[in-house]
Amino acid sequence: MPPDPEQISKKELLELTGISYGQLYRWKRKGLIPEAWFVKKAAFTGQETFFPRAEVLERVARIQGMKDDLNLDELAGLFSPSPARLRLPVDQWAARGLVSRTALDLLAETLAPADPLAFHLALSARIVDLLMEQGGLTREEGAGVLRTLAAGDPVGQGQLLFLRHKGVGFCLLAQGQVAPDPEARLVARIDLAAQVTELKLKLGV
Amino acid sequence: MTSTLDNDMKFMGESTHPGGHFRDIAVMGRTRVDGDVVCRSFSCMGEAQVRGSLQSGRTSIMGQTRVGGPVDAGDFSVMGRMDCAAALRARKLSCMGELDVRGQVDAETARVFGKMTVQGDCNVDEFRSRGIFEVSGLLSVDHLLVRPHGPCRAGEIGGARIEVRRAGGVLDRIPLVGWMRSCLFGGSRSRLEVESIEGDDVSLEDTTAKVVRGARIRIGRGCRVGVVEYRDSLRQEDDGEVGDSRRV
Repeated sequence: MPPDPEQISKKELLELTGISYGQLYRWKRKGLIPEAWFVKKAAFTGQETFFPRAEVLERVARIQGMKDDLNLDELAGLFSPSPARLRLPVDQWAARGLVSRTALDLLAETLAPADPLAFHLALSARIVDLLMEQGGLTREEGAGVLRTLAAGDPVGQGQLLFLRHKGVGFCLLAQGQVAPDPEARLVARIDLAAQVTELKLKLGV
Repeated sequence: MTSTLDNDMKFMGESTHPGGHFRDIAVMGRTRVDGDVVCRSFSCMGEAQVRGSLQSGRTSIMGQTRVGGPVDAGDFSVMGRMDCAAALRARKLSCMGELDVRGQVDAETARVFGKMTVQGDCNVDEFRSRGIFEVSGLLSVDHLLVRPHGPCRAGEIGGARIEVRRAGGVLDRIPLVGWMRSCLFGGSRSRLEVESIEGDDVSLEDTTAKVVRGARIRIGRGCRVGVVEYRDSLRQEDDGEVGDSRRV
């Protein structure tokens, strides 16, 4: 049977990347390499395992590049398809330019979250960043946005609206139609699902 | 009869319970819980059946327990008998009695002195056995140290350091005594049988395997290995048999 160019055998993978059996099995146990990528095929020496070549080489390179900064559980969260499991140290969110220091400090003051910081909290802080840029939010208003998002489900569907009426700013989480006071000025409208996707993309998930 | 104190629960006599959140649970009689159980500690000296899931920080089974749903057992020791119909997760697992799991097992450390049967995969960072185990799927480890005290079996074993040593005690080192013991008590059945082993440092005794792959491999006494594929070194000792070997 000719070898499939789309696939790479376990032996070749270890040789090409220089990783050991121990590392490969450890990464599989921690969920860094998905179970589904391990494809067993009959070979003349019993069974051999093959992987999708492009995916696994790229994944191994990224694990090798990041394993000095993050521990295996943090890496596992990063590669997890659901962002709910993802947690990174506060410094990492800032160092990678995903969330500003100002927003992270505000988050720490308002909600006193645990470090490493969960995905949905970092997302909330990112949204505050965005609103500060677009609508010139004050710190007080930013804290209000964080509280609103914490009370709702920022990783879910829906929109975050920020309105200002007679100089007073306030925000609301909405799904579907909202009809505020026509005199209130809509400062910003943020689609949450789009923000989730964008942050995941920036993380490279 | 059941009694509660500060949300502690004691089951004595024969009883049924719908389940829920508790602090410490002790089962002394015979009980059936129809729902899920979440608690700080679960100890069973009698007979318990949990139809839902069990989540407990500390679990010790001295009697007999059956759980229908997934189990998160925390620090977990089985001295009696435990049956898990689904997956089992634990921090430290110690099996001195009999443990039967129909799903996957995930644990940081596992010590087997009794008998453990896993029908799925078994993911353990540090696995030690001086008993009997059977893992139908993959036994994935960082470090495995096994002294087979009876027939041990695994589909595949993979990890960094894999060691299988002959289980014998001091008596077996005396020539005739060892031979007599093996005749009388079937000492020759005390071995590990596995389809394939892959590891960085593999050292084997009394092991039957179709394929062994790794960086540094030692095939010691009592081994029967079909094919060895090694990267750095292969050492063959005593009567260890290797059908075919090649450097890759």
